Amino acid sequence: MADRRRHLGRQGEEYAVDFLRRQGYLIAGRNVRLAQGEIDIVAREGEVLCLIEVRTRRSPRYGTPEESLTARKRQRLRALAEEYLAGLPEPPLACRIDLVAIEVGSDGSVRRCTLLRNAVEGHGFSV
Amino acid sequence: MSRASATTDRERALLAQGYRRIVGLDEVGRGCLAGPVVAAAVLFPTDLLAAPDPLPGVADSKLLAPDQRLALAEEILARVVAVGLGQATAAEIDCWGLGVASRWAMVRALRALPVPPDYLLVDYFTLPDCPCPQEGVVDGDARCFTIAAASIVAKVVRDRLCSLLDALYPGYGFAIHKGYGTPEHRAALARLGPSPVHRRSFAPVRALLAPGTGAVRRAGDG
Repeated sequence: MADRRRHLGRQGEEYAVDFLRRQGYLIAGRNVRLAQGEIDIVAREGEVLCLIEVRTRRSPRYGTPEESLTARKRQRLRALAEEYLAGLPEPPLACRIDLVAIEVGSDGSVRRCTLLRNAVEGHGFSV
Repeated sequence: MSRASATTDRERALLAQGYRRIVGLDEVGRGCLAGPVVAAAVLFPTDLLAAPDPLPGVADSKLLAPDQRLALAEEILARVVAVGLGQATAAEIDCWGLGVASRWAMVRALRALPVPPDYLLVDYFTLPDCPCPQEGVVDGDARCFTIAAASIVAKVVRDRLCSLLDALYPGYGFAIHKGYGTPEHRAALARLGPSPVHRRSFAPVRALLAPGTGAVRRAGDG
């Protein structure tokens, strides 16, 4: 079960990377490991450094991918952003946290993919 | 064939001025189609730098044969006080541009040093917000001993990394060409398509990508 969930997560990230590229994002890193956890995707849109969380759900029965981003997870993302920024050789002009929400049907196909810019506010670096 | 070694002329002048932790910094792999840029920072003991040609043969890493380079790297690593290594990935190069990424690799190499330098010798560049005096030496990797030593270490480390990439992404020949755009590499690239470690912003790779999914070159990029 945990394996299946991880597989779904990977699939979602794969899809999100292609999706973001088509939106004009430049991908700087994937599955970036830090002391406090992992950032799914690091990218650049215009002059803004974007840290992107990908949430993938099989069906909205237990809530949408957006709803799965709980207050605690937002807090964790803010902390990850701080840690990532502190480790960069040069600070970016601006930084924000985006969310890619993906819903996958029972046949494995992507039903919906939504990009939410600045989904987690108040980490001190958003534009 | 003997080749002119890099000298410690600059280092000895700095020693005379009272500097003790003179660090050489260089980066390699800018011209490659794949893989990271790798930087090395090296710090030698002052008594070694006081000699005019402390490790004969230390010269521009690009002019050395691979086995020569390896032997020199071993000698260098046996004699240094400290080494710092840093890299910037192919994706970071695509995202922020080659100039920025090279700088990041160098800053990371400096940060990886266990002691801060009191004087920094860099090949050609200078770093922004450097906490100590620094100097971008023109032709430093050929003329200046500590920079040449850093370039040799960086080159050997990067070559090793590329051999690892060969295991992760077989078929491109990374162990042979180290990511450089040789005819064999270009042929494999055309046949297999780009791997995740190819630099999508570089023209020969970008030409193979679906429209709109490559990196777009922006004004102000290095």
